Amino acid sequence: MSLSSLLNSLSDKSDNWSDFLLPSAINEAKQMVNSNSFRALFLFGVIAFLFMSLFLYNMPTSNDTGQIFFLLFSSIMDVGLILFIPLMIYQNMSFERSNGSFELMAITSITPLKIVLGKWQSGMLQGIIFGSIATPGLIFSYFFDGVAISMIFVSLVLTIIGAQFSILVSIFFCSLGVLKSTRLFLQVVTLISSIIILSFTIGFKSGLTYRDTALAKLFTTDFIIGFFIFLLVFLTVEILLIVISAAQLSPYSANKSSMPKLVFSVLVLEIGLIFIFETASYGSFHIMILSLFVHAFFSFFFMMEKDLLSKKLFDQLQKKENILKQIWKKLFYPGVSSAFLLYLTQIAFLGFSFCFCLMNSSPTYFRGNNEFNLLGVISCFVFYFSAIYLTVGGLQALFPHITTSAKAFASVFVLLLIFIIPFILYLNFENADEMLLMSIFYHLTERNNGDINYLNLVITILFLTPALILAIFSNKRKVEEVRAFAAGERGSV
Amino acid sequence: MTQDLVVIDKLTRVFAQTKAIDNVSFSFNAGDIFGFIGPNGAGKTTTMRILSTLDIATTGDCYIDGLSVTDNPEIIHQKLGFMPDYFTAPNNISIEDYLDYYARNYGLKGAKRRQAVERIIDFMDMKNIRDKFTSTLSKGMKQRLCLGRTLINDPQILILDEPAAGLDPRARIELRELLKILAKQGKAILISSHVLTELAELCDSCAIIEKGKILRAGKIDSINMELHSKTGVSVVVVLQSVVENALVAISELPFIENIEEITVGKKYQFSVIEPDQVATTLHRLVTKELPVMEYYLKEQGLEQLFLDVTKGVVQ
Repeated sequence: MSLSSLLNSLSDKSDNWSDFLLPSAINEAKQMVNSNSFRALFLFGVIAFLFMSLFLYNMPTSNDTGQIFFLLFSSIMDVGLILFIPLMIYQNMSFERSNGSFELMAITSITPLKIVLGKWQSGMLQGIIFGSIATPGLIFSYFFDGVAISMIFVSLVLTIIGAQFSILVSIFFCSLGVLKSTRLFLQVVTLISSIIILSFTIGFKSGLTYRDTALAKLFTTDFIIGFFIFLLVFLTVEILLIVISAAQLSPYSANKSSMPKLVFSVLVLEIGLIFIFETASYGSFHIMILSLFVHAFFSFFFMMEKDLLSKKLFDQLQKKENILKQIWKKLFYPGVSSAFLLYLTQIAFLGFSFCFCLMNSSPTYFRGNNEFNLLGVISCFVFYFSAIYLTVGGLQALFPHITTSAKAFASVFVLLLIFIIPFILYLNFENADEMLLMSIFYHLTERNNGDINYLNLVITILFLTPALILAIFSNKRKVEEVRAFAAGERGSV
Repeated sequence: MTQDLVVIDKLTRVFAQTKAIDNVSFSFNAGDIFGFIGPNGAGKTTTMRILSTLDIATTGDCYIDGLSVTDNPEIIHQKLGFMPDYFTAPNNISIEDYLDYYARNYGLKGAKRRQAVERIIDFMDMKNIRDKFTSTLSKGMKQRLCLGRTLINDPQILILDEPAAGLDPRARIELRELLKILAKQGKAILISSHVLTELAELCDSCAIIEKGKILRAGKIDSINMELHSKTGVSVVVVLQSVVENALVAISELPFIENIEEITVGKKYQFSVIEPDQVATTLHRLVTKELPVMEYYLKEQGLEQLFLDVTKGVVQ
């Protein structure tokens, strides 16, 4: 066999192996390698790391030289992988969505799920290329005393976890925005998310590096159980992010993403609640507020989606009604008006909870002893009434003639609660134990020797299950209705 | 009756309060180059997007090979190639890699993928520039590459939205020749354009759309005939020598309207309002002792047809 035929055969084989990767990943990797800015950056990175290594090597050594060396390299790598690459992926994807490349992909055989996974894979591939600059530096830090090889390994694993999550978050946010202005706003959200993930990763790593016993703790039973629970939640969140992104990118089928969005928003709210009930600390206060924001954010997107139950069909169903009834029903038809109402509801609750906590920073008005339990109660309100709202919203699609009023009633009820609860709380300010509404919800927020209140979870699931079932069936029903309607209009060819 | 390969059936698309297309219906078959003509905003692109599964109709549907595009988008993607009126390609990517990327997107693997890319590079005559970055290509070459991308999965149907827009005459001729070859290969081609002379040389069928409604659809000859049955047939007569009072003699003939003297005493154009009277009119001219040297129907180009239809001559 001649050399040229051997090279050709090797080239064909490597080309065949590339079929195992998704098209976007290969395409973007090729683009990156072809780009002059990447080549320059790569070269600069290699030289910079080389100089830094030499500089640190010649420094007078102390006990923590290895740790400084390790943290420096590791942090630089994290900034590249967890902050810059996700932002690059976001920008590329946003550009592709604006210039029509996504449309061209949508009419090929590739599915939206493969597009999302391809982008994810591409981010990881780029991460590996960038990471390869810093990895030798990390390994080099082993030769200084103070950093164990296991620590370097754990650090790399943490970087990979952080980077892939950050990339996924950026893909997810990019998939949500249809308008250019929305995508610009979401880019800022992506940046903030990446910074949060980056700070968590670096913080965790420095914690591990400076605690001699930290690594040993990794193998205790408590840690392993906790880790697997965390992994379960983490993977669930990741799967939901992938599913939502894919559903958002599929042409004319935004309704497909309703279900994962609903599950995701509730899941995030639940995580917030668990933190509240478990520790009731300032940290959990922030997480709870964050989870409320996320919930409100998703409710907004959920309700803003175009409905498969076309306006024409809805109008046809309503055309026998008088004009006032039509206006009334349109106000609560799934879409912009309902979304706005729901969004206002959640923001109002959030604002109320903030104001209330600020006004009563250290009272002993509630049997739970602090304002964080009160926040838990408020979050219960937000969650349960959102669930009611979504449940009734789902019912509307099943029985459009009957349930519009019920949905309207639920909405008005939620609005009334927003105004009434502060009054009740205010009137009962001096006599908290007798607060009627609070006592109803008290058992849901009571802490049981510092453990998670499982009763709350059970009740939440009981509330959530019918909402999810209804959402599934109503979506299916909507699709069937539209199909039947369209078929009737089409006639036969 | 055999069903056409592509059937657009009572398609309506409503955006908020605007009806982009209203009850649009037409059909065409394998080997046809079907022109889709209309002014800006008439609804051409909306129709093409629905046919390409990029949008969904408010009512009605399109059928390819009897399959609904709304209900079977995945199967339709394999049968169809869509070339939009814009060119998009990622930065820092060569022609070969661009085609390879789309071949992968269509699920082609290994040798089949490489063969598909080679086939397109050969067909598009891009062998010498296969490593050139797409961003460095001229407008004509980009359109050529875009057409190549459309052909990468060897589709049965091509939907081309304004493919000749912005091309110089040479690039247009090349594109026209490529399309003729593709039609000969048995592909059904739907092409929209503002350049009617361009379409006239390519298409034998067309649909004329205005304000979302189809004004006329079918074979260009049939539309012409239909038009003429209402407005008359335009005829040109050339006399062997200058004849005084020839204009008076012609105007005295029955079924004649809109007489135009092109060359005084020698060449005239007029409309015969009853198409079946065309031959009789010639006989009458000869009977009047006019030395007729040439007598022919004035060809109604697509441009004239479009103008006649859109200005409401036949509505």
